[in-house]
Parts: sequence; C-alpha cells; structure tokens
Amino acid sequence: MIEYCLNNVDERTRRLLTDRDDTREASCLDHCGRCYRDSFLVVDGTVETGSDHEAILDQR
Amino acid sequence: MNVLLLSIDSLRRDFLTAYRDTPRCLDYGVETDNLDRFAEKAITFDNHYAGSLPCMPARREWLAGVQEFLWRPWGPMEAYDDSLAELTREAGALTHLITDHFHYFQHGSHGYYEDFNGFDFLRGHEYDAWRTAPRDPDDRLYRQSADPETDSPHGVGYVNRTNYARNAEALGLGDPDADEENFFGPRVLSRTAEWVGDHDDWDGWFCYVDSFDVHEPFHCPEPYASMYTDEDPADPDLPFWPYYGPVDEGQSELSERELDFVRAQFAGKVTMVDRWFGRVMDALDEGDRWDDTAVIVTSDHGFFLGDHGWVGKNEPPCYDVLANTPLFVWHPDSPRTGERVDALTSAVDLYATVLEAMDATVPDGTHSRSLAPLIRGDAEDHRDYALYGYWGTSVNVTDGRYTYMHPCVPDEPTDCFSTEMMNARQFAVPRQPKTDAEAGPFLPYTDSPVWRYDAPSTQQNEAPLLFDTDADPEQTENLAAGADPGTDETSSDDGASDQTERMRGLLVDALDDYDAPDSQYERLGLD
Repeated sequence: MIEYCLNNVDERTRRLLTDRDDTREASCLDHCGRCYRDSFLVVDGTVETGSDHEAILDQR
Repeated sequence: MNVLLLSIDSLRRDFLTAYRDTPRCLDYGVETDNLDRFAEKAITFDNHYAGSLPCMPARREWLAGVQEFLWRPWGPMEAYDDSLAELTREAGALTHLITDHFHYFQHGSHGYYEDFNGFDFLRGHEYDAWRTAPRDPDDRLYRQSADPETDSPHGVGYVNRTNYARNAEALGLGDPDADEENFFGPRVLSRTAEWVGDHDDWDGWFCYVDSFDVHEPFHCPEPYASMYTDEDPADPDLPFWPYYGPVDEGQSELSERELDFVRAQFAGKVTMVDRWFGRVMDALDEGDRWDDTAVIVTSDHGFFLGDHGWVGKNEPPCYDVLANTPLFVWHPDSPRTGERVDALTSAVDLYATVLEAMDATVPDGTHSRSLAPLIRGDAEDHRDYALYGYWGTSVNVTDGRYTYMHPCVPDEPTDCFSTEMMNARQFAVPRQPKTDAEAGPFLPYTDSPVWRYDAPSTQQNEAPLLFDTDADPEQTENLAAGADPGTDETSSDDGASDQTERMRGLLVDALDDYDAPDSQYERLGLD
C-alpha cells in the first residue's frame, strides 16, 4: 500500500499514482513538515523520501 | 443576560447517555453523569448537524455565521465578517474566550480571538509550538503519541508530534499517576468555573469556551485511562494518538488490540471532561446564575473510531458519526427546558442564537437562523435542509431523515475565495503566493473584493451515498439510485431512484439558496 498526500504531488505525478492499483490518495497524511520540504510517500506504513516520487518508487 | 457557549471538540454524541446508552462502536457504556444532568435541565436537540468542517471552518460558522465550505477551506476570519465577540461587545456585554485550542494561533487562523475583551490560552495541547526542551522527550509519551520512524524527535520541520511529548512532560503529565487537574480538559473547565464565579458584577457577558479535549491525542490520567480497559495505559506499544486513515491498512492501520485501546482512551477522555464540566455546573448553581445565563454545549464534529473502516476524520465520507453533532441549550426563559427537539438545525445557527440571546444585532445576509423560536416554543420546525462538508470534496445534505453525499468530479479543481492567500490544504506551513489569482467582488454576501484561485479536489466518495437514518441510523445500506444494497456499487430500483433524485434536487435547491459559485455546480456535475 502506497499512500500519497495530495499536497505533495503535482498534476502529472498525481495521475501516475492514481493509475496504479496499490495507491491511496490522502488530503493530508499528518507529515506536514516533511511534505513542505520533500517528496515523500508512505509505503506500507513507513515514510520514504527521495528526489522525486518516481525515484522513491524506483527504489522499491 | 449572559451566554456561555461551550464546545467540546470531537465529542461524538453517541458517547453521551443523553443520546445513546452504549456508543455504536463499543459494547460498554460511558459515564457522562454531568452532561446527562445538563441534558435533563436543557433542551436536547436530536437533529443537529455540523456545517463546514473540520475545526476552524466550524468555528467560523459559530463566530461569523458563515457556512464557508462552499467558498473556502480552513482559514482566518475575514475583514467582512461580523464576529460574535465584536457584536456582543457593541451590545454592551463583556466578552471572554477560554481555550487550549492551538489552531487559533497557527498560520492562516487569525482573527478568532482578537475581538474578545480577554482570553485565556492554556498552552501545550496537540502540536502547540510551546516547549522546545528537552531535546530528547519522555520516551513513553513520545512512543505513545508518535511513530519514531516518521516523527523524529530531533526534527525541526513543521507539525511534529514530538511537541506534545515535550509539552506534556513540562506540565508534569508524563507520570502515569499525574494529577488529573493538570490535564487539558480539567484546566479549561476549572478556569471556566472560576471565570463564571468572578463576573457577577458585569451587566452581561458572553463567555466562549473551546475545549480541545476530547480531541486526540487521547492521553488520559487515572482513573480515566484504566476506566474502560484492562491494558496498562502506559504501555509504550499502545498508541494514544492514532494516524488518520483506513483502520486496516497503511500508516493508520491498527490491530484489534490497538483499536480497542484507542477507543477506551477516547471514552476515558469523555468521562474526564464530563467530570470537570460538573465544576462549571456547580459554578452556575452557586448564586443562582442559571436564572440569567443561557448555556449552550455542542461540538464541532465527531471522530471515527473504526466506524465504516476509518480512524480520525477528513478523508471518509461525512457519515453521521462525524456530522450529526450534540447540542444542548439551557435558556432561563424557555418553556421547553428538559424537552427534546426534533427539528433539523445546523451549526451555523448558533451565531444568530447567541446574538439574539444577548439582545445584539443579527446582521443581514448571514447563513445563520436563530434557534430562538424553537427555544421559546414558538416553532416546531426550523430548516428544510442542512448542508455540510469539507471544502474541495463531496457536498452533503440532509432533510433530517435522509442523508445524501454527492461526490465531486476529481479532475475539476475547487475555487477558493478569500481576502487572504491562504494555503488551500496545508494550513500549518508557511503560505505560498497565488500568482494566478484573480481579484473581484465574487461573493454573494459581501461587496468586498476577494482573491479567487483554485486547488485540486479530492474524493471522499466516488459514487453518491444515500441513507435513511430512521431505518438505518448506522448508515450501512446505501440507497442511492444504482446502488447495490449494502455497498457503494449500483443496481436499479424505482424507489431509490425517486429518493435519490429528490435529495439531489434538495442539494441543488440548497446551493441555489446559498448563491453558491457556478464552479461548485461544475465540479459536482450538477445543473
């Protein structure tokens, strides 16, 4: 399960994540400090950061 | 006349015996002796609904009479708002705010406390940016309130749960045997009792008390922490601050044991706040203050505790566990005290109700309709519909029996209208300029120009949801046309189709009455 915050993705990334069947969009994931600063995803309950969201997905 | 308006944040009405013997998500009752005692004395409203959600939008409904979620999200009071404090002061009343609600002091939430003659802000709750030492917080408090893998205690980013652990430690709450009077709800309510006792020599007052309890973190002292569980409440493996989201997956996933514990700590907080509300009632008993004091007790919204598969709020559809809120009103001149009122009422109605009780002027053009005719016994009905929801997602309507949750088109952004360039969603971090904003007199209730800019919508429900809350108060059977009973999927049924069309029509009528922005109709796919 990959969770992403609506505030942390641009339109293109949002579409990319929405098209997957293992993602969930959240209006806020309660990591506002990290969200303000970094690209991040919550993967199976754990926050993962990277240069961008695709890079985080590539690390998996 | 005096008015005491008390909000107990996140208070689910099904946890109050006045509404239900046993909360829907529990198999045990919760002690609320003092709120029950107040309900017996006051008018209990059986069909009261939240309006704009969550916290600060609800407060703008109460304090400015604006049902804002059709136009903007969480944000400040606006220059064109006539605040309750301002208007009651103009009517000659002393005004005061007592709160431990940190959100009044965060980015983009200004304007709510400034008009009161005085205010108490009791520090330390939730994310309150208060204590910054020690660098390494109390381990037990930290582990029960935060996820060490995601909330570093040494991080300096915005909104870090470590704040609570440091604040609670500074207040001496880290000791499992800490005195309950030092916890938040008790401090707010004992200060309220003291304040009420100190102001008999004023001609009239409006005291607004905003208790952040029973909002999370659900950190309780004894005896409440152990009142509804056999677990060790100080077990660092048991969270008292759950993440919002689905209860069965992701970062919000809770085991059955963890969910039971969270529910028990929520229940404990409810009982704790109830006990200290008794101090406020005692203060009103002394000196027969009930004779010249109206008392309103309510909440901004509820809280999902595994109901419908969710924990928290914000992302789930606005089921009644969240939106159908408690309301009790004591008015010394009412012939209906001790009765129950079934009329449909809305959070925004409290604005005009307080003003009328204070003999203050109710401005034209607000969304508020005073409950005074119901309180006086001059009316049995009040509203044909109540609108409720969050900005930027579904819009919901009830006629008092059926609840209808209409989804948005996710690709259609939502317009935000404000004199401020506030963040549409990330209110707690520094604001970003809106370089594509337009300015103009876009609002139907003011001639003031405002900014207009958009932000992405998000879906709470993909398909319409329709429930008959008389037949199905737990809202488990979706009756929406095309819905497969018991699911969000679809099938056909003429009765369901008629009812869906009726409620959809009621939603359109409500949007028309409010003169909602054209863009709302577009993003909701409504004509």
